[in-house]
Formats: sequence, C-alpha cells, structure tokens
Amino acid sequence: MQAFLLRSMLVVLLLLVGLIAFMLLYLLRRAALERRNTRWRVHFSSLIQRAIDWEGAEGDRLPVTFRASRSLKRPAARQLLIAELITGKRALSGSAGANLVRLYSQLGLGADSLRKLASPAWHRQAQGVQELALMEQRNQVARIYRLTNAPNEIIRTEAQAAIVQLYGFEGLRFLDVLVRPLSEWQQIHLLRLLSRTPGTPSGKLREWLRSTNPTVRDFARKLTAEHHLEDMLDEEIQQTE
Amino acid sequence: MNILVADDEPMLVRAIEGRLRKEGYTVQSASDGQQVLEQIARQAPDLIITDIMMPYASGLEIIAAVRSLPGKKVPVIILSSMGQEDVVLEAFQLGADDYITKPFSPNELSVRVRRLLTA
Repeated sequence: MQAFLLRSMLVVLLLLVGLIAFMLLYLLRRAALERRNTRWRVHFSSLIQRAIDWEGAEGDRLPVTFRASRSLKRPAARQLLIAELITGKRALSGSAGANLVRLYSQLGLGADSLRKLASPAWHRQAQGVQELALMEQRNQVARIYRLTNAPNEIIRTEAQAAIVQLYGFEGLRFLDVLVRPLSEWQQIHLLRLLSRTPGTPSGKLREWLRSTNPTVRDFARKLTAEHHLEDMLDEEIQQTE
Repeated sequence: MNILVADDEPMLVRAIEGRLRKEGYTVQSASDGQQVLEQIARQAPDLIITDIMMPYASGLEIIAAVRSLPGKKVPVIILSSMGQEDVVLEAFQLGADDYITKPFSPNELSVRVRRLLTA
C-alpha cells in the first residue's frame, strides 16, 4: 500500500515538473518571439515612414533599408510587415496610402497573400482575400473572383466584397453566376461599399432582377431602389405578369 | 511646439510622430486614454491629436478633460474612423477644434496642425 502511494506521488510529481517545464519553455519561446517581432517592427517602422513620406517619380523604387531587406527573407517577418502595411493602408489615404501599396507590390508581398488563398484553413483564405483587396492587387482578380461562389460563407463574402472594392459596380458581375445565397447582411455590406463608388449599376441589372437565385433578385431590387431605377423594376414586374 | 499624439494603433502613432518631428515639432505619444490624461495633468501640450476609440478613456472624454483645464485653450484634433454625424457633432459640441476621418492624408493633417498652431 505504502509503495503504491509512493509511486502515485512520484507520478504526480513528475507530471507537475513536466507541466512546469513545458510552461516555462512555452513562456521563454513566446518572449523570444515577442523580442524578435519588436526588433522587426523597429526595422519596418523606418521603412514604412520613408514610404509614407516618399515623393519619387512613377516607376522609381522606394528605398528599402539593408536591415529590413535582410529581415524580409523570413516568412514570419514578411507577414508582420503585411500586417503593418494593412493597418497603415486602412488609416492613410492620398499619396501615403498609395505608397504603402507600392511598397507591398515592390517587395512582392502579394505572393504571400496569394499563397493564403491555397490554404485549407478558411480564415487564412479570407485573410488573403482581404489583403489582396486592400492592397489593390487587381492583377489577382481572377483568383478572387473564383472564390465569390465558395461553399464557405466567410470566404465567399470576403471575396464578393473584395471584387466590389476593386471594381465598384463592374465587380457585381459575380451575381451572374452566383448560386449560393447572398445574405441580408452581405447585401447591406455591398450596398454600403457601392455607396462610396462613383457610377451606376450596369445593364446587367435587368438580368439580376430575373435571376434564378432569389437572394440575387432581392439584392437587385434593393439596387434599383437605391439608384432610383424603379421604372426598370416596374417594367420587369409587368413583363413577369 | 509640443504635440501629443494618442492612438491605440502603434504603427499609426509612429507614422504621425515621424511626420510631425520632421516638421520640427516635439512629439509625445500615448497608446490609451489614461496615459493622455496623465500626460495632460503633468504638462499640457500645445496641441492634441487623438483617436476616439481608445482603452480606459475615449477621445471624447479627453476633450472634456482638456476643456476643464484652467489657462490657455489647448487645440484638439480628433482623428477617427468613426464618421457618423452624431459622433462628429458630439466631438465639436464638447470643444474639438477639428475632426479628421480615417483614412486620412498625412499631408492634410500637417496643414491642419499648422493652421491650428498659428491661429
């Protein structure tokens, strides 16, 4: 009995020691990563600052410091820089915002965002779509367009919003082939994005009013109301009757 | 001229700080409302640029605190992604001198800062 108790206590003790060692190693690793990220942030801070204030001509390359370019060989550093550029692009407009996009393109960070689209994790794909849209990577529109009909609702809605962000009313062409539902929330979101876009809905609006997808018809009706095209809606109703 | 920049987004604070320093201003920064209130209590800056949504004390609370200080009036610029009419009106009613909506142009911010400091 005593031997059993002793053995049990030893097992519990070993487990505790193991757990403490694991926690210690985890915390040390986390602290090391945090220190590394802080170091990278310092390198990138001057890089971003220079980009914001840059006044070069079209076609000129933005200045990239040696330390920053050395850090950027690491994928984790590239991701950190993407996150910083995204934050900056969300907050800054005008030439400063445009220069951040230019820096993202110059450093080839689009390839990192693009790789996320091939990830099996839905949140990585959605993140990739957001990054490409915010960084105005119009050359990747075909890849994003494919995701506007994705089975995962979050990826789908991100891709739809991205296309509209990049191309305004023209981007709505995904409605031609959309077979999945366009949620009420997403309809409001798209209308909000379009309200900041110049132009009016294309001639496709009539087709969307006749779509086999009821949620597309619903959205098309909202678009006609938003743009005071009620005549078009009345004509469609008369034709249907 | 001493400017206090407050935003809970470090990248943005660094960007604004860099721009203003280049223009010859002395810049202090804060990442939450509490820090702003403490810095103001220690020494009032010549101008405050603050976000609205910040931990511990919002930009609106900061305006109210600044306006309750005796002595010279410290100009306050609100820099926020909240562009709703009621929030903007509330900021001006509390005594904000300017309101800039994100995304904003750093060039425009510089001009507005200069205008307020020379007024």
